[in-house]
Amino acid sequence: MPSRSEIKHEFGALNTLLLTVILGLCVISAYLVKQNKIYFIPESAAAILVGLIVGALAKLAYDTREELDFLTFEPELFFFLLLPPIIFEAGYSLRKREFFANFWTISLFAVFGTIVSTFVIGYLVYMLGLLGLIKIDKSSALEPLIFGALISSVDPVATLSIMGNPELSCEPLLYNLVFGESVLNDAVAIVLFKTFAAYHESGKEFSSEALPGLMLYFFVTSVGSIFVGLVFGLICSYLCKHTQMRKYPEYEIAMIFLFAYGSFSFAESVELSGIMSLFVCSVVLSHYNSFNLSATSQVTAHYTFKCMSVLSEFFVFLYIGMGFFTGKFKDWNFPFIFIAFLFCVVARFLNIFPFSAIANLFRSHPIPLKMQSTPYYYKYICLIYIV
Amino acid sequence: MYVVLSPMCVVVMWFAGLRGAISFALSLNMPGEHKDLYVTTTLSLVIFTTIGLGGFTERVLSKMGMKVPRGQGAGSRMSSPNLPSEVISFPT
Repeated sequence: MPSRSEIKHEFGALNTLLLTVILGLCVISAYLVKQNKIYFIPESAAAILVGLIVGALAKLAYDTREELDFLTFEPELFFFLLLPPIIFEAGYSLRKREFFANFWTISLFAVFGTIVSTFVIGYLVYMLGLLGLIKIDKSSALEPLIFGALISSVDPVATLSIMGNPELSCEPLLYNLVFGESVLNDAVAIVLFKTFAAYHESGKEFSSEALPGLMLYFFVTSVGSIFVGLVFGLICSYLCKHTQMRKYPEYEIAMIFLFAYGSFSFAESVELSGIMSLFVCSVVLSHYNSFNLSATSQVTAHYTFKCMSVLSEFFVFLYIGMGFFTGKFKDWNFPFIFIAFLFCVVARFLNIFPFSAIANLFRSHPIPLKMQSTPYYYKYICLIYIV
Repeated sequence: MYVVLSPMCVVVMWFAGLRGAISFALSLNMPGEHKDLYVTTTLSLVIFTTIGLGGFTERVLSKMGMKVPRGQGAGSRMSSPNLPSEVISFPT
């Protein structure tokens, strides 16, 4: 008779094998999509599709068996293992010149726009709850606001992978704005989420009077996290510059990795936002430290981090696809999903249009639109835009 | 340097509000008893926006005139920013 631990080991080994195979399928499908220039299926969508198919098959094969259990795992894993590589890579591969040239415009969208979007979605969902259309916590707007914060984190990996395609030659300013907004906005949405969630955990009564205090907490947390990221990034750059580390590329890359993860875990352990300090740390590292690295390390680091980020991202999208069929979530409310989608569209409208109008006030030198062909509906869009 | 954001550019930005990994990861950490409702909603929104809207990106870009002549677009210099040609090496 095999012992309990042996069975467990075997089960674990099978699961990891299965996961590796599925991730491999994702990489292959992403390759096929890129190689054949299939623009209507971005790589992330391909990963979700693979997940959906695997999930559906698993559901058909073993409906209620505990084999499906491997598809459910600790949410903490997302935070400590999968999210850091994605955020780090976004910061490390950031094109700083374009990002900082448009910094104020991007921050308008990513900071103030995300706050607007959080409150718009939060209060709209709260109203739905008050009307009795969905079953949520009606005692206060806190729960809908937490949802508003998490759904305000836009992540247009699908859009970006298409826009960043050299053969499509998308307008660079547009690409830089969408990219910059998406990386900065994640950190903001996460801090907002944690601010509201911490308040929820504290069990205090929530009222709109608490909002100024929460916003203050949000800004203090953000500034603190940015500071932690800066310090960690600068210490690492200093060490790499003033030592002979560049003779040993493997230690160099390990240093970057450890300092970045260090900033994340340090910020998390002092109750700041790990994601935000990790992002700042990665920007500092790529700005100052990549020049200290040996030539080998520069290229290696770039692709190593990229690979880790791609795998984590595939994993999450795969998990999302599989979760659709196999997740043990009970409460599906399709009308609410549709309405929530409309809310997102409205909230994003209220983010992008007003803030781009404000941004344009500060972006001087108006130049005529360089459109190759102005479509017939152009004037309608201009009209909406002006209104 | 500071080019005014054209209305078309703004429309594409509006469109580019897909939801992704982070929303979903956050939803799993949601406190409260109604977590499942929010998780399923987030899950569906991520799937729908990534597959549905993501697939339309190319069409939206061309409809909105957001394509520039070849070689000037995003990605022409960027697909691998740290290519060896750009690597700055220090004398050791």
